[in-house]
Amino acid sequence: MFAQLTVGFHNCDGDRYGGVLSANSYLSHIKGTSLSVFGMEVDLADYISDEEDAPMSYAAMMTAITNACPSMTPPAKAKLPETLAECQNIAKTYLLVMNPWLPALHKPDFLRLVSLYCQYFPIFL
Amino acid sequence: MPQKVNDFYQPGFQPKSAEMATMQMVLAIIKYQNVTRNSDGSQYYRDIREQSFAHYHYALSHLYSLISSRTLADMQAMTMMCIHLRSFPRPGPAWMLTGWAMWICVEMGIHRSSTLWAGNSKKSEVELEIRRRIFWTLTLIHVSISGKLGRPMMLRREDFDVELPQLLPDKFPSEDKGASPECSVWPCVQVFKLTELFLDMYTALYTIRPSSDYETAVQHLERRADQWREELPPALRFDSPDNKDPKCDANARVFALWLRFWESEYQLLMHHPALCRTASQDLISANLQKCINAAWVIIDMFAQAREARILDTTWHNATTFIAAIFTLLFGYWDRRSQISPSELLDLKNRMSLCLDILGEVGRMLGGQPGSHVLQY
Repeated sequence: MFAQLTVGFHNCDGDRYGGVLSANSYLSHIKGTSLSVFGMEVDLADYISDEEDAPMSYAAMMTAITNACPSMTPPAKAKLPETLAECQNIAKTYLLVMNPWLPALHKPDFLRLVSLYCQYFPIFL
Repeated sequence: MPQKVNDFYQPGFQPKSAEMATMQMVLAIIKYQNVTRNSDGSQYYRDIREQSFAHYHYALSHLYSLISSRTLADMQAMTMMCIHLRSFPRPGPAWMLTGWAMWICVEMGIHRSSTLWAGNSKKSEVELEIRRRIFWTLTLIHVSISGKLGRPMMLRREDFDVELPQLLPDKFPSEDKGASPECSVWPCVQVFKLTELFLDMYTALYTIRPSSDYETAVQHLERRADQWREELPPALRFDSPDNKDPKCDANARVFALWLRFWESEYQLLMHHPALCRTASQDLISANLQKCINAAWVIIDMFAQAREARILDTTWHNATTFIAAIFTLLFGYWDRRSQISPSELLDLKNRMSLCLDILGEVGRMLGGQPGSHVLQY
């Protein structure tokens, strides 16, 4: 049941103990990506194709971090936006939609950083 | 002639690892969200998806520098990675990286109150605010993942005393006056206060060796929820006139909907039958009723989010939605002798709507075309 939850190291039992026990055999609480009712179990992870998931997998993350496997293809060259308008649009969208919930970025500092890439067209000034 | 960004690259400007990683993560996040919400399976969207992963993997290759250098900017870049990983279909990478980031925060004292640094001229007001924001953002992600995975929390409430964000004004003079808020991240404080409630609930109820009596713990958590609701600003209360006012911040309606969803999730998880460790039949019955009420709100909010095309794409909220459906099925079954035929018909109709929504959720999570999350 928990095989798909976290595909980490081989022989790692750390993700198979199933957390807290349920007091109700008909209705389980949420266990990661799986739940059950009346003995019927659903695991969201079963419906995600491995192929689609590969770049987002744990293994892909560790490879990118450690560059541990020289025989693997290095990550594709990631390009910055090609036009000023696209760059500004992406920055504004992020600050409007994502940052209010998860405010890792300080708006003036981030816009200043973006401006550094667009030296003669600072945003909002 | 298009102004190419690279044409204006400042000569000699060498972005630090943290700056490059932050920029790449913003691009990765926006492109991934674009594809997840709008993709029609065409080559155009497949290309954007590939680009998103390229940005993400490229940012990850800077991780070693971030961890070695450990400045505040490095922590911001790591937090951005955690924000992106939170949206992935499986929890493994997010769990690992968020944990790592939190441990480095503890090493840097980011979990401690800013009064510790009072009088220290090296820490500006902005720096203190960023420290608060990083801590709470990581805590929000971590609590959500750990809670659902049934794993212990990195920090309990007794282990940190950092304040909530102070909402420093960041509105530029040239931005439109009136509707735009003074601080662009103003809703985050309410989300973080709710995160505190979730943290306390998980550590009190979803724990292997509970330290307090179940009934006392639930009563205390219920009072905290009531207090949170009372302190909510009018613009963030779903269905309040202030929230419906056209002059109010357009995003406020979105935030209010999701806050209502998460508050209902809190109620559902708190009173969940699977954790109900009491012999009192009255309490079991009352808890189940609260769960049923919360489940209906969750389904309603999800349906409205779908109509407004602001469905969240994460497995966290998808599992909450499915938990609401399962709870309703269980609740109605448990009370089958008391349910009228018309109530049962209403349930069936709403379940059809839920299945329809689940199809869309499944697609957003990256399910195979034609797969069904639930087959009846």
